[in-house]
Amino acid sequence: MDYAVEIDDLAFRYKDGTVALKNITINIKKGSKTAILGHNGAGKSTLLLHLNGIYLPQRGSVKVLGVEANKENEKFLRKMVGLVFQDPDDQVFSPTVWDDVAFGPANLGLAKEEIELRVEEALKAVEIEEYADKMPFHLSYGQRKRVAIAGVLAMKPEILVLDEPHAFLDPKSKENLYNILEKENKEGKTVIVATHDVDFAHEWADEIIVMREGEVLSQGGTEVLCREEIIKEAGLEFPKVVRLIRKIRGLKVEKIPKTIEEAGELFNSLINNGCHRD
Amino acid sequence: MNAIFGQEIKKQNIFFKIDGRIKLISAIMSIAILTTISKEEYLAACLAFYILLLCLTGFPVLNTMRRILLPVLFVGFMSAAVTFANFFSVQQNSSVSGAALFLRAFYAILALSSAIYSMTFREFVYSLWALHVPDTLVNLISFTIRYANILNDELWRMVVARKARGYSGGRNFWHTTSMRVIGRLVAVLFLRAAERSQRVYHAMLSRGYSGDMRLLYTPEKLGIRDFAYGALMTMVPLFFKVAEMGEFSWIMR
Repeated sequence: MDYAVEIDDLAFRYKDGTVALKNITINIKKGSKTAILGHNGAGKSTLLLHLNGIYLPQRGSVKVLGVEANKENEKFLRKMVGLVFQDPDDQVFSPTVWDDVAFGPANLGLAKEEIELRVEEALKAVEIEEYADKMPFHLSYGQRKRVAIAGVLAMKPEILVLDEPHAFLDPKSKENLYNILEKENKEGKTVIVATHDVDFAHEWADEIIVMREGEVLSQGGTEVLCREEIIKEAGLEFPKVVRLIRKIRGLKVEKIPKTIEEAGELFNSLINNGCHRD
Repeated sequence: MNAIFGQEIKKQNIFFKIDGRIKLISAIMSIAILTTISKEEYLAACLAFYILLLCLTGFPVLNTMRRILLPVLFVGFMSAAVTFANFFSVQQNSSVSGAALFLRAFYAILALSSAIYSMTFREFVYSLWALHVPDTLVNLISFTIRYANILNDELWRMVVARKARGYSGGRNFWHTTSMRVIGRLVAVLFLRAAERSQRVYHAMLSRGYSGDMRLLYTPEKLGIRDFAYGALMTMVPLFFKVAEMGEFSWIMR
């Protein structure tokens, strides 16, 4: 099996003594769509910062595309793993949108023409070409988020990592983001998202990792989000579709639908064919 | 940052089109010459000439005056203090008059702020680099400007949050409650800005930053307009300097 990320027994403690990660062992498949779920302070962001070498393992190991994360491989990690921070204001700091998107490619040492091309492509991918000369601070939160994503896309990473990408986004921006992630994944990129949004994770991801207090509670397919003991222990809630299915007494389905549309189809077929009840 | 650089009105008038390097060099040279002039009427003439030049080249002078009001007021206060000290001084001929000090400082503030305000951030950083300012200093300046924005942003958020909970400004300097609130605000502001700067730095590292900022700015070729501006900016103060030295006394005769 080809893995994009292999983490073995990872542990990390902050300088103030806070234990952020303990005994983390996970593997993320190449080309997969992985959602990391957990309550605030579960260690999701700290884990993501390990993926492109901002934090290095204090114990255990992190391998990205087969390469061990250490001081010597920092450059490789930053080229291969594009990390979009939770708050775009932490990431977008240049005087114009164009400058900010060009920041990453410039650090990769690319030729000016190549940088210009990549910036153009990235701005187009997130549909903010018309804001290229604008100051990021004059844009809306959703637009700044797109600038942050464009800044990472312009580096053309193999693995795209997003920390709470849905935070404070309106429905339209969420839809745009969903489309961007789908497009990047279809182009062969591994996409990893840390989120609280169980509905998004259930609908979008094909791999789920649930974390609690710095530990991995469970890893698997979306069925993980249908298991009551996991959901309770992680302090999460069932996705809306799962809640609905669970509310229909006696209904047993082979495969829980992932989206409202799939649920609609299921109900229509049940109505048409007669409900299958115990 | 948006308050410092004329990002959105760039290239709309002649002054903004003049090369940044020329603007910086000529401003520094004219300030250097001006510091050697002591006659108030010559200093005033230089200042008047520069303001006229800004007006003729379409620079938003009034807007800039508003921006530089605080440092100019400070300079005015210091110059008044010098005048006051000179008045009571036993020394009959004081070396620096308050008016001359004020005119020189005012010119320096106006010349530098108008030069910087008329450039984009990229052009400003490039100009410093092209003038062989050491890389470390250029990086330091560019990050100070970027991070000043973070400080400003944090301050704005805190002020809004404070207002939202019913806080209104202090009645006077001795109003202890207000002073306590302001004191705490300043302390927390620096802590929050430091933490945020750390996150910004992490974000920079994650995009491959390794200590060097690469410039992606290609300036236009220097033209006659740029050289003419540079010459005018330095020749006028130089003319008054020479006049002060009495070299043109034969004209006055």
